[in-house]
Amino acid sequence: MDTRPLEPAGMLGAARPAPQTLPVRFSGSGSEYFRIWIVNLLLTLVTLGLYFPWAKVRRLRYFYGNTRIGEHPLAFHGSPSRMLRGFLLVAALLILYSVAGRFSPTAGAIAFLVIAAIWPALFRAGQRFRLANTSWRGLRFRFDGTTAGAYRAMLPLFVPGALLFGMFAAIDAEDGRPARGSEAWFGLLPIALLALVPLFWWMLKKYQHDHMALGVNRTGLHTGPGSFYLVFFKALGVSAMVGIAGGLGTAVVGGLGAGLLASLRGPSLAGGLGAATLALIGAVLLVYLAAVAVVRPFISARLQNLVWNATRSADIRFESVLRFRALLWLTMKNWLLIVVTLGFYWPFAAIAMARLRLEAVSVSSAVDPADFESRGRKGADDAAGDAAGDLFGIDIGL
Amino acid sequence: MNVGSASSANGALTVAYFDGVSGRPRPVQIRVDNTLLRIDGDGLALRVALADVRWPERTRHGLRVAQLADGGMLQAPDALAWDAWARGSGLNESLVVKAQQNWRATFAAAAVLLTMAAASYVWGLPWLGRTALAVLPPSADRALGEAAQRSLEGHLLRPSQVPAQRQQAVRAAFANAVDRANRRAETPAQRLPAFELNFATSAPRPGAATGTPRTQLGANAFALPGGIVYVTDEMLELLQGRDDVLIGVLGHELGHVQRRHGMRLLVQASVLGVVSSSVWGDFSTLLAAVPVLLGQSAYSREFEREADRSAIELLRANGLSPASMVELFDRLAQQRQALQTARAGSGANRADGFGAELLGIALANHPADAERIQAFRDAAR
Repeated sequence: MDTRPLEPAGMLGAARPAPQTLPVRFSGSGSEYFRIWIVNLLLTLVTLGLYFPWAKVRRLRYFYGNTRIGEHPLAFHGSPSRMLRGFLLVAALLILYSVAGRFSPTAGAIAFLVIAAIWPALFRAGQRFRLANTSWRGLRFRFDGTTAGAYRAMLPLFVPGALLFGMFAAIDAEDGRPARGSEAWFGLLPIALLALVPLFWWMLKKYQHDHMALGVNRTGLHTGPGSFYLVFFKALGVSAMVGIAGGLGTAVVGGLGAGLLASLRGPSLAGGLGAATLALIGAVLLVYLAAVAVVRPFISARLQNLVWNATRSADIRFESVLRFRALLWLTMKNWLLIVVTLGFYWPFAAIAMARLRLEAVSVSSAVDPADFESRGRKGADDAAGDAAGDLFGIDIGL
Repeated sequence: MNVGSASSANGALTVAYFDGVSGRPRPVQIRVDNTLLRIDGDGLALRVALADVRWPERTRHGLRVAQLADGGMLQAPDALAWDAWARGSGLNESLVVKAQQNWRATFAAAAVLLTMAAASYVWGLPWLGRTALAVLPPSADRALGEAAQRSLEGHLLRPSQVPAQRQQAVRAAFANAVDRANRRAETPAQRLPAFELNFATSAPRPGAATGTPRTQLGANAFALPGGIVYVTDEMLELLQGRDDVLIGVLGHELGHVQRRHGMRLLVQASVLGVVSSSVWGDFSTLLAAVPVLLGQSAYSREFEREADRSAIELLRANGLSPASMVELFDRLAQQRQALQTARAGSGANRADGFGAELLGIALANHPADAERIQAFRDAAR
């Protein structure tokens, strides 16, 4: 609503009202999802997995239906019977892959190549399917990335893997001795791989976020790989800090503990030292786990903010303010309760995680979303989405 | 019939309609008329077959969204009013939805799940393993064994230092013993399979301190699927002068091959992995791996017992006493004792041997020695 006096500038203003900010709210409940989870898990196991797509659609409809952008929820339209085909295909591929390598390196290499060759196409089909079957305000989303684009974004991922694989295969052929000169490669390759992870991650996100569309709005990811590198560097710093703090703590506690144990056990120095060593092994393991437990939430919080804050279209912007500390705390709590309850806390954890991550995001639109229109005729979008989307109804989460 | 909500009077409900082209909601009245859903609003009169509507499922949280086949949708902000309307209009909900909204049904489902999980762990998974063995040809075992052999030869194992003469003698004695047992076998299932006996020592432990084994495997013997049996130089040294015990040890290993334990473990681990990742996989792959690891250890305990039985049969068939296997455990214990003394004497501060053993107990890799010794003694009576 524009209340300014009617004058040329005001009329222009009327056509472009102040941006609306639409908060994202999640209303799912842990106890309710627990019931859905248990019942569908039972059905899935009783049917030897064939019910899985139905359970998955029910789960997605529950999560989508409880995700409100502004006052309207998302909706999921995928058909389970069609998703069953995609599910069976992907399951067959993964089983093939995991079994082949155990029998012979050659079979493993072939399976690896087959998967590498078709995975980008599958990934793109999955993205199309997922977005074409998601709607808001009755409008279907689209994913218009091309297959060639998917290969450009994902194949570089497989190149170092293939190199590594080729090298292992070569070793097997040569009586288990690495070829001369290849030792240096073995040290360098993992480091090179690690250094390229942020780049690969950026390429993948760029491909995903450059091609999401609703009506005439198509998003783009407006950030370069440099910002991804920054996040990963900071993550390295965080893990180093956890390592140092953990190491110091271990040294102090371990030293005290060893002294105490030795005095309890009497003069046997070896006994005390043995106990100290055991404690040390445990402590190192704990510090390692802590570093992983801290770094993962750090990266995922920072990347969520980075990616969504840089994603926008002509009329729509996103803002994500997910706090690392909140995510870390929730992750720890979820882990602890899942372990204590032998896995039964899982649905509660999933709901709490979805709430934290979704409610950190808000959407702002330069135009009234009621004026959004689907591109072209009614149904044209989903037909296109369907046709490509979905030979198989592949839905791969990533 | 819900009388509390004015909107559902005379079977109609006011909801928002989206046509799938515009993002603008339009208020409409919906009503069920036999097999049709009537949607009426401002300049709108749609008739949709009930079967062409994807109805929302009743949940306590969230709105109700019904999807129409032509891309349109109905959205009810008041979920309770929608549920009352749906009930009043005679729309049935599935058993699954009823179960999901009922704690008693949920607990029943959880109880059935746990029972099923326990039953399939105790009976289902081993049955699946055995069935898979019937389908998988023995050549699959050989391929698996050879792949494992290649990777072991490359990394863990080193050429044996035992003189070729001695190797030949052990090989001949064991082959003889197996032949004698097989001649007495009443059914083909009792026959011990063909084998290939290899001698090796394992890679040295880098910087092994006094009081810890010098090599990775120490005194050991193991079998790969398909009949590839290995015995380490340290084991030959340990059992010096007791070739009868050595026959028992090799018989135990051949028992693993005979019952195709390696293949069964592989099948069972794969199935456990798939099930566990479909239950928790979304949350964490690490978490999903835990049941696989823990689940396997109980089976491998059972496999050890079965292999011990093969050793007993082999010894008996050759007129040797199963009780001679007790000597193996005695000598292993002596060796451990000696290592511990050495460690205490030197004040060595490495506890890797100690730690490994603790882990072995925690994961229940082997049935307690006492239990196995008792089984061999009982068999000798």
